[in-house]
Amino acid sequence: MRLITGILVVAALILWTFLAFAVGGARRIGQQRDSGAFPVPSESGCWEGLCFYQMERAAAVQALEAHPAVRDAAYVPELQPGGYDLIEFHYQGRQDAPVMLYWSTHSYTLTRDWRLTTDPLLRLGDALAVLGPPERVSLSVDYVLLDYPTRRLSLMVLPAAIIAGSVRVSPGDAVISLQVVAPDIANSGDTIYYPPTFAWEGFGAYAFP
Amino acid sequence: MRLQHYLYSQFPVWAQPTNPILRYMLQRAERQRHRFARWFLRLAGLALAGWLVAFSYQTYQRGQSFGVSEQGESALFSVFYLPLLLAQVFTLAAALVLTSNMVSNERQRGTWEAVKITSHGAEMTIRARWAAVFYQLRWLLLFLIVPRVAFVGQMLVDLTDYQGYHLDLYITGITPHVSLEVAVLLLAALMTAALLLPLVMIGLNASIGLLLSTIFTKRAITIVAQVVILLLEFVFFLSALSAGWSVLNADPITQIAADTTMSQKWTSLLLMGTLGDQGLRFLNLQTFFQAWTDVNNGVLIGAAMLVVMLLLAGLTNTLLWWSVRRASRPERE
Repeated sequence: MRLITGILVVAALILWTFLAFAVGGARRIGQQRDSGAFPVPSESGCWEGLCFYQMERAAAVQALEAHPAVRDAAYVPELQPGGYDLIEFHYQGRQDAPVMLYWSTHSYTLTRDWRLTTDPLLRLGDALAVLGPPERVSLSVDYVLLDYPTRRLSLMVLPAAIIAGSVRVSPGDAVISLQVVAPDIANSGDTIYYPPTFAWEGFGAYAFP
Repeated sequence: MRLQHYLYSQFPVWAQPTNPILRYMLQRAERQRHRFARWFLRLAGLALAGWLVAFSYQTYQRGQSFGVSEQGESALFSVFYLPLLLAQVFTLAAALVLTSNMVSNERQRGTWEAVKITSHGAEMTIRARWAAVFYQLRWLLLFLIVPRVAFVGQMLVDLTDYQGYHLDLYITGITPHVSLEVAVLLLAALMTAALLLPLVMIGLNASIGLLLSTIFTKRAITIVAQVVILLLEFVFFLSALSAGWSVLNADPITQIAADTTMSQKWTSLLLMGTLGDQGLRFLNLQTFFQAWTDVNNGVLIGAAMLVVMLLLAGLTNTLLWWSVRRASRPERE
């Protein structure tokens, strides 16, 4: 009967080797595919080469209209809470994504167009695949904020569930907005405050006080 | 056919379908039931399986899938988990029942003494009976293994997500830290264990049945022993499942989770993955990765399952050796 154990060991080794190559191969195939995910801002803070923090509203609309993957870019005059300038457009990536762009103090934000969709801009895993792990994590009301201070970038993530200040962060979570702060502006007199944050510890459960 | 012949030739002689003892056992088992009864049972089994899948689908629609959290599992996984679990339980029970009456049946036919006095007769009969279980349960085995292969395929597809960095993203921050290469091997270990465990468990139950048949020679007592063993196995199976589910389905920050130590969680997951559902729940990538992030050393569960599988195979060997020894002993006058 030792022969049966021997057959099992050989079968397990062959299967294990095959599956290890299959796992590695799947990873390689994924890396070579175009994800079609919504692009994240670059290290310079510009989105697809468009540095919105330096642009006026009209120039931003014009630049978006010229982008090959953007359609129907337009200023939204009727939606101006707090005096924000809002621009709507559709990004044609993996699927059509309705997007809003608005400016606030020294920053611009790209967010899903909440009037048209509950779909995310992109999934957290796709964002981290490009950006790498964030430096800080914080909880703000119903959202998780992932901060990249060196990029001056914040991701607002909608987790699947928040229970009494604890939240599970997963790659499939929805990223619903991307905020970019402009580079330091001399003599601005303004200060940006960040809520209490925690170091990134990978995906899984976080307990926020 | 040539491939089939080649594969069979890799088995030991007593496990090849051309072996006279094994062939005789399989033919005798077929003749025990009328062809009509066999087909009726098969159709009834298919109907029951279909009903279970439909029932599972309805519970999934209501958000009450049995044993899965529905947050990370796909619809297909959530629907098929319960039917596959029940099919596993049934197959294990069948493996025990098919073998535990072997000696008493042979005695009833008056052939047992003749078998024993033949050179290595008892040994070959015991081994052939063990191998016969796999041939007799081949369709059930197919029903168990094919979905598992499909789930492994889905895991490989899911690995291509996030521009191929799905695995890389999940190994950040886990305890212990592992390199990407090691993570690949550990994930492959889980897949290997989950594909082979059903076969090993069936072999183990068949060997338990054979040992029972050499201990209890009277049919009535053997049946009582079967029922006791099956009940004990069922209780153990449920305990292992619930232990693992309590880790996977619970919010990790709740008080219950906080009262459970990391080693308890890890042991619960290992029990569920080996003696519970034989790794079925882990054949969902997000669920298995959840074990990596929520439980210290969770990344090692796949490798641990492989080790346990080999230990169980060794136990099977030992039980069969013991059965052969007992069966080969002369009877007391």
